[in-house]
Amino acid sequence: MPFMIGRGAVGRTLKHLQQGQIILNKNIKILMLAFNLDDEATGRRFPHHNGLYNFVFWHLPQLQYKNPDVQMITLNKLTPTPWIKAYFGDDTKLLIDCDSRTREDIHEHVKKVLGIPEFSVTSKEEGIEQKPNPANFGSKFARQCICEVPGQVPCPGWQPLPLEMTGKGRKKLQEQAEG
Amino acid sequence: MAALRLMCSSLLSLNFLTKAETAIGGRRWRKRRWAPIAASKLFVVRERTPIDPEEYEELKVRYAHYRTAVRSIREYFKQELLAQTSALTDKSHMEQEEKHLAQCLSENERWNRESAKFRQAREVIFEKEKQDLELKQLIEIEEQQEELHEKLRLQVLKTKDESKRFVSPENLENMIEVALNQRSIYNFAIDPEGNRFIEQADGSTVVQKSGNEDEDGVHRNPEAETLESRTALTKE
Repeated sequence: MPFMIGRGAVGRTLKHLQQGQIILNKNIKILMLAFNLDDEATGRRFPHHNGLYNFVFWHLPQLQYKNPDVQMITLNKLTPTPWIKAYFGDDTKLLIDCDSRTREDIHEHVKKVLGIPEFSVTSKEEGIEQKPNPANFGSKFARQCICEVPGQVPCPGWQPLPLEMTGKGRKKLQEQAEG
Repeated sequence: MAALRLMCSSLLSLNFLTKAETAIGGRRWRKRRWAPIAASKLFVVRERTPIDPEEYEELKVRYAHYRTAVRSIREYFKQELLAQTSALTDKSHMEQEEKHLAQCLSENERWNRESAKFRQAREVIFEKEKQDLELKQLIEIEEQQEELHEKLRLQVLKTKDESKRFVSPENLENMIEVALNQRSIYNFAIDPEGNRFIEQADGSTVVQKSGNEDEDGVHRNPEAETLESRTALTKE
């Protein structure tokens, strides 16, 4: 992975993305997050926006990873207070005021208010690992080789192949048939 | 283009495909639409593909089983999907969702009110700080103005004071006389405190203490001519 420098590098790892806890309500189509960054030019500082900024920095990639069909937009220098707005499919809007709130608070609240309700959760959403295909075989699976399966040809290392399955055997049989 | 043609010709050369069957990418083969079929090919009738009857029957049965299985799986998947989607649009499900949404909205309202309180508290502090800063700035400006006024006042006084010693057409002759008669002494020794030691003609030393100088650097020697004595000359 390039750019494995700085605190942002953690947020670009697959492990971090998979640890996202928030799965959004299926009716939510758009999520808008607006906050201001400290302005170096004018020297203006916005400490009450830090909570939402940190939430976006650490949790937005996780959120998008778990909800790829939701459009997520971040906006800058729009309003004096930070906010999150969720737009539902039936034109309902939900505005969350994040003034002077910490990252953890915002995370908990978003999970509660915008998260999928328990009765809608299916095993896929829960993130339950899909059972691996029992037909698979290989170094990472229960059966190491196809020869372990009853009814399959055993590996020649365990038991020699019948004559007609080997190259030299076939050649021999061919010779016998000709001769 | 060339690659396609090559492909067609190579497939044709394998002798199991007709020209029509090798047409790839929508291009008719070499012969044009309006070109007539060659005389040698006009009445060509291909022979039927040979079908082994036993194999045919066997395959027929096997295909029937296979297709039934595939169809049943497809139907099963369709039913499952239908069940899933209908569950989402089910009335009870919709009611549950609406209820949940209402709960979420009310919870959010409560949270927003708390946030509003935080914001108000913050704004009070912010306003106070802003006012303090403004006051401080005003005070600074006032002080600067005062300093400026004082400076100008002193300047005016100084100029007034100096104007008394200006040379006017009436003073001119007398001032010339004074200037000609006055001598500045540069032949003096000086100590670190700034006291000047001037040797007199008779060998004695006169001390001019530092701090007795006027703005021009001229020593106000009590024995020497004072400002009054100078101006007294003008009155004469």
